Amino acid sequence: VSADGTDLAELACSRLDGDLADDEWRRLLDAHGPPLTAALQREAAMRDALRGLPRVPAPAAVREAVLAHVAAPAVRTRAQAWWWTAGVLAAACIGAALSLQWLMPEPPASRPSETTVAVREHASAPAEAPGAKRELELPADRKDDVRTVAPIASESLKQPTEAGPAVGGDGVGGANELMAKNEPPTSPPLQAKAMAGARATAEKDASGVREQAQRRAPLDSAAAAKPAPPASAAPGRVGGKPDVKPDSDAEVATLREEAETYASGHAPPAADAPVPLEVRQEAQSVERSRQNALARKTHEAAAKDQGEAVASDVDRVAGLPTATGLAKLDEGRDRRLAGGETGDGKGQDKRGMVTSDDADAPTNGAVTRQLAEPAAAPSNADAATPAARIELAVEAEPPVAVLTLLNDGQDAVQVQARSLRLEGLDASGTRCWERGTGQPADDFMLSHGRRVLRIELSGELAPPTTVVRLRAHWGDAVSGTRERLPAADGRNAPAAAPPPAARP
Amino acid sequence: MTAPGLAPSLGNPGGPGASKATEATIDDRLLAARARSGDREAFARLVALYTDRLHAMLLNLVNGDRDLAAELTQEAFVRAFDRLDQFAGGSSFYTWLYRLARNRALDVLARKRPVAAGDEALERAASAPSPADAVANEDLRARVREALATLPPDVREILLMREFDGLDYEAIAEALEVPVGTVKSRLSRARAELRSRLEGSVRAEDVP
Repeated sequence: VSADGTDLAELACSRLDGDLADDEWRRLLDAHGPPLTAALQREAAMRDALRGLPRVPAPAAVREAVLAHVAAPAVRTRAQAWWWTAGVLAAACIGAALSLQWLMPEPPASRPSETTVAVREHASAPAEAPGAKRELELPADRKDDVRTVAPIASESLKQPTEAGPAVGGDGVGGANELMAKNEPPTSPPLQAKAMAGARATAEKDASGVREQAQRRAPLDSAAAAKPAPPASAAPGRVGGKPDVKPDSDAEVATLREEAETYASGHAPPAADAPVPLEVRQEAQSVERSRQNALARKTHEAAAKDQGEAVASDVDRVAGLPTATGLAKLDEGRDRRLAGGETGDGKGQDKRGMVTSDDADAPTNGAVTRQLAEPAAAPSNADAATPAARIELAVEAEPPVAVLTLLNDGQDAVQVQARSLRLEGLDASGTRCWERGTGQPADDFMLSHGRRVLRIELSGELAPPTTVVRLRAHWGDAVSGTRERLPAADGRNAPAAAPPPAARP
Repeated sequence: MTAPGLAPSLGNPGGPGASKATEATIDDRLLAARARSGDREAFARLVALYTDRLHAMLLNLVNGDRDLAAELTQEAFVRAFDRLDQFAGGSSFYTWLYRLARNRALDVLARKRPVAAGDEALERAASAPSPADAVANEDLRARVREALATLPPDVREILLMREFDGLDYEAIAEALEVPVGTVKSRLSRARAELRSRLEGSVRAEDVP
């Protein structure tokens, strides 16, 4: 330190560190003289001494140890990897064993089945939860439908001649369920129509089943002719008629006539009112149901599998054609379209089912017959088949009975003159006259379509005066009754009788 | 006018040693990167480059304890090799290597009795051939070694890093993980401390 307190050693360090330029250093030298030079020399000597400390090289063992360590990691890594892999495998084995132990299924006896669980869940579901429980109980306005329709198919299989309303109707849950899925009609007329359609379908099915039973085990003629109770005996019959069980042929004929007249669109003689639209729609619905039933019967005749027959019963009750029946309908539709046989006044829906757009179409008579005369449906006897039916119309000038033979089936039907006959009914509805038609001159095969025969009713062929109504028979197929003397406006005659088709 | 022979050749950023240091740093980083990617030859090259330097530095830091210096050197390289993935390359490899070594060395020195000046090992090291010092500054070096051994390790360390190892302020700052200004102030205090220890021993007439 100089006399004025300046640290000469600091100045020397700054000079050695290069912080003082030559001019500044020269000025300091002039100011401080030799003591600054001595301080610089001492500082430089000290640094040189530090810089000259011994630099002993590292022993060779150090390098070798380091290099050995560098080369070792590969081996060490392999060993570590082996141990790591072994550890992982061991852990995996232990984990798998534990998982298998935990996931081992319980004994079947103590493990509830899925069905049991589902039933428990169903039973434990709150009743108020929407959709939690599917109640079998239907709305009040639908209970009659189920009771009336559902048991018919099941009971008709067992008791063809004893069809009647079942009690409860819960023996066919599937049918109930299917019916319950349908939206109930909102208005009473629509409800009545829907019930009538379903009833007609069920009755038609019942008759088909009965026919099958007859084919398998022929009954005596009396038993076969015994009519099954009509569906009209069940509550809610068409037209709101009271439940009546016919005891005599006269009553049967009267009821049949009334139902026929009501459903065919003809006004009753006493009331000359226009045909209501509801009735026309009802007739169309019945016609569609009848076509469905025909398709199902075709399917059932071909089906030999018992399980398939059971499924068909469910479809029948629900008013739905079976898959096979639909296929046959499609096939028949295609065939008819190819043959140009669609000009019968009927339309065809998407499924190939025949529909009627005109309530006055001749098919209405058959529809009415199905409603009122379920037991008189065409049988397989003679030339008539379930698909064959007959319609009757009467013309006044000249007096002619127009017989229309219809074959709705796909197979041709043989028409024999001896299987055709006319019968007359007196004022009480009792049959009092009968004779053959004399036509056709030769037997022929009636393919899908119709044939019109005109039978003279004049001269020797005229029925007696006691006959007030006429009825035609084709084998077991029976037409509706017609007035011997039709009204002046010709409503008793067919609306548009097609020309006779050429003989095949 | 600069005093002849006193201008420092190392630690001067503007001097020729700076470019060499920069090249060495670049080489260090390249070698370290290759070693980090698994090139053992690159790490062996680093070992060959810095083993003696680190060993000499540590030998003076531990006051001539050769076994300890060798142990610390070996341990520093092993740790460096095992932690190569932690070397970011922001500094020189030697700075990072010394940082690994000094922590262990200062920890050991904190528990070890101070080495007396004139230790036998250091005497033997000092007797190593050094043509320039052997003739003119043998006495001065002996007194500097005695004074240096009495300094605290952190003071001795920064003096050695600057004067013996020739690190610049930035490298010292990186190794010690302190700012450069802190390095300068610490270095100034360390020199003053060493001067006070050499008072009376280092005389102007001792300088050749």
